[in-house]
Amino acid sequence: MDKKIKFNTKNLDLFYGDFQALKSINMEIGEKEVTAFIGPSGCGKSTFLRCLNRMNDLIDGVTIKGEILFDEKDINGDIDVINLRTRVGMVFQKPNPFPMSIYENIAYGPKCQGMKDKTQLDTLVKESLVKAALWEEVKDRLNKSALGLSGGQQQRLCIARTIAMNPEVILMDEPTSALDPIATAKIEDLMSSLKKDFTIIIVTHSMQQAGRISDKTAFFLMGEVIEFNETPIIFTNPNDKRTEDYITGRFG
Amino acid sequence: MRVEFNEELRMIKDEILLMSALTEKMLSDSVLALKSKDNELAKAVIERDDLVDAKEIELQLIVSKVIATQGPVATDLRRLAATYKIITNLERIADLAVNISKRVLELSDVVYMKRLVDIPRACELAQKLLKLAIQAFVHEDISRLREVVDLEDEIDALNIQIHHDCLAYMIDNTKNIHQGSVFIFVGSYLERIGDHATNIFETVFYIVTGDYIDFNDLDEEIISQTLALQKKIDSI
Repeated sequence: MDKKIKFNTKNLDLFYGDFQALKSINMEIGEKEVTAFIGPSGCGKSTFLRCLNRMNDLIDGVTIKGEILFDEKDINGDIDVINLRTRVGMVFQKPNPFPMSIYENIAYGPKCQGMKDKTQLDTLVKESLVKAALWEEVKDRLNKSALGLSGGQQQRLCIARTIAMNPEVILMDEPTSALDPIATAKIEDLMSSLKKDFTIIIVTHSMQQAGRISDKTAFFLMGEVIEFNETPIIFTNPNDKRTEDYITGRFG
Repeated sequence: MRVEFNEELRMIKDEILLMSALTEKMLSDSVLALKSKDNELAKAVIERDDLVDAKEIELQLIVSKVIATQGPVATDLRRLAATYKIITNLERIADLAVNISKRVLELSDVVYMKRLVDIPRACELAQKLLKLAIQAFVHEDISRLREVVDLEDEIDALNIQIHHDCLAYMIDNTKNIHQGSVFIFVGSYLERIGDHATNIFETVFYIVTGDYIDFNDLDEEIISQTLALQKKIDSI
């Protein structure tokens, strides 16, 4: 059976003022799959990622044309953006825990949404930390500051914080670029286990990471999607010479 | 871009060429030794096998190192994965040349029942096939695949011919049984050498197209598609 399509973009153009950063992007992103975006700096991959939960709204002078269908509904239409960002969570390049306790970092979002019951919050905090593979490391210091955690732990905390909102999609913008190989491996393992419950879309500069963790890979170049295919095909026998040149490091 | 990696790939290619040259010479010398009853040459072929074995191990280690350190993908990955297969096939060809040479020593006191014609011919064709496969590897050009299939068919037919001729001689005179069975073995060694050379060409086909295909299943449609693909690649 074909996988359900979570995001479907149609002829998506994005302009920063006069500069066109995305050119007619047509892409179907499957549910509960890991999709990786690769490409040189400035190719539009992070811009495209930010379109998916309307983070570009925060940037002045951005114009978007075309459609971004999320569960078949256009997110650039009249929708509740807060609700969209709850359903489409995001993890950034640098871990950015709130200057609060580990517990409060996780409980903050649900509390803002009106969850007050202590037992319910306790359960949610534990579940989120377990899913983010961090529970065993922090269960005895939940009330300590999150800023005392290592970089890798902080990033998993941010993932736990995202999971706590029970999103359908998690966007990750180079989530391991500031981490060492061991912390990176933990996050990558985590992604494999999370895809059972979530759709994951990740921007990465590491070809090997895209190869290891993703089901599908899109190669972006100068605002266009040059090739979007099953990851094993992209890394063993890409269809487009530009993809081959980029992933083999012969792009110049 | 990627100067060091390109240099490593070039060096691997050079080493495979060297291994292939050693193997080819072992093959031609083994059959020359058989034809001319030259025991010294047969012994020299057997001794040279160590060089080919050492080259195979050396290349395995180099390729593993390059895979580990350079993280190759796409065509680079296929080139390196293919190297493992190519060197295994070359090493087997060298082993079969050694087998032929050992048979030469077995027959040192025997007067041949006839002048050898088909065996040197089969050897010549096997060498031609090996050269074609190696050239295809060097240039990553698979446009001569039809010749490969034809050569392999010719070698197979000669092997059957050798088999039938030897049986006839053996039936005619039981004193011919020993050498007849040796020549039948040599015919089958040459046929297997043809198979290994074809395997090498099939591996080059994989480097170029990303697909593996058994050349026994080759039809006109695949041949014309391949030629069109090669033309397209050449034009880039």
